[in-house]
Amino acid sequence: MTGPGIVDIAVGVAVLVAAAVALAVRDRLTSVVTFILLGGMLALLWTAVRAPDVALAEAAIGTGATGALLVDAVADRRSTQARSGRGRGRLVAWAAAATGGAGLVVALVAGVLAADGSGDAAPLTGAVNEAMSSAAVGHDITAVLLDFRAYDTLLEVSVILVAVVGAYALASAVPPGAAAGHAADSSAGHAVGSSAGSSAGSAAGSAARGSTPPAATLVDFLRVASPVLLLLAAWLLFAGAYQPGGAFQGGAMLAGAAILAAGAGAAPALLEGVAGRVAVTVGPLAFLAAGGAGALLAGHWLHMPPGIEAPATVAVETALAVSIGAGLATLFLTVRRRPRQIIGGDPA
Amino acid sequence: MTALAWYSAVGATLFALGLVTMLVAADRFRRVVALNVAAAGTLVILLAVAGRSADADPVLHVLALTGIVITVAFTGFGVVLARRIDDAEAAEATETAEAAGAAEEIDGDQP
Repeated sequence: MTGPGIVDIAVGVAVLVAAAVALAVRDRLTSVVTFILLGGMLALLWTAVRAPDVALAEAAIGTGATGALLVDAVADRRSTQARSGRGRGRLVAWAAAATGGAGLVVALVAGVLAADGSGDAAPLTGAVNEAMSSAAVGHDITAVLLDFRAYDTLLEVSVILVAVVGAYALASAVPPGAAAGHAADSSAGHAVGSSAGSSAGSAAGSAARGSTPPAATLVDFLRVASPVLLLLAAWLLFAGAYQPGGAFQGGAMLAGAAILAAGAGAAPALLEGVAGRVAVTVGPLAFLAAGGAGALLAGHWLHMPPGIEAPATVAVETALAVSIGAGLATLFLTVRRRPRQIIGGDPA
Repeated sequence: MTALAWYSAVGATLFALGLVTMLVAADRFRRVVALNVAAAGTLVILLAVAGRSADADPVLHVLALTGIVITVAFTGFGVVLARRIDDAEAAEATETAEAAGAAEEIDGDQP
């Protein structure tokens, strides 16, 4: 194996500097913006270690969606709280933690190199290549995700579902005084949310929410960009069958379009009410349905139904992309403190 | 020094930086950011190990993808939780201040 090239060293140093700055600055917004920059550097690093799928996911999810979540959370409360006054005690704590951290770095590097040197941890590339002939899709990463290690993926989308439900429950637990009005709003909102079509609903939503008109530039940009974003999401989703891409990257692109729309004041009506709940859960449910059919027909739990493996895989992937997009966008809306908007069309 | 050693060192440093900050920092949002940095460090090690052979190991790439998605899920939940605790603390501080103000008023009436 050759030593690290100039690109490896430059990218590694950039990542470390960005991380140190993101963790060291006091101002929350500066910290978050530097963290987004770190995400961009990481995407470069993933390409340097030949992981294009991870680079795409990092750019779309790790940087895009996480950045949107964090920026929105800190933008209205920039200042950090007062530091605790016990200067000496904190200094000791930091010094002890820094020493422990340095020891951890040495131990980790030594552990990785020892494991590599022992030869016990051989790469699984060969095993995956052998099994590819039985897979329904041609790209090895998608095959591992949806076929060889389907359990991981099923539980992963379940984690998103649990996070969305938990964040939503936490944000929508209103103080006792406001509870009655909230319940009335949500039942009225259900009727609106379920009857309105997607495009008409978002237009009506933006009109109803119009106490502060959204920036005209952003709205114009959204008109031009959203078809492109949707097309890109679909391309990423279907390209995943034979080259880097797939449900997670495509879903993150969908979430990006929805987050932009929410920023322009027109959160997609599809995320409201019953439609929103269906959109968030359809992915895990489709995965379970296909896995159950596999258990009945092929005798393998989470095996795609025999005979229609390829279409079933694409269908499950599409459902997963919709759920991931809806889940990330709902998380974003919840962070923005608009649970009522998600339940129904009530302006917050 | 090999590329694996270099990237392991970068990943381990990221992980330690994030872990230490998460354990010691007082600001809750900073802790969420620190946890994200630590997660990125684990991914750097994972992918450095995946990239050591001629053909990169797809199983480790998939694990990294899963890690990214889990990270964004806990970030969303953590941000909502941090906000909620901040708000509760702010409300408590206001209440205490109001109570103190009321007590002063009563004190002022008495003499």
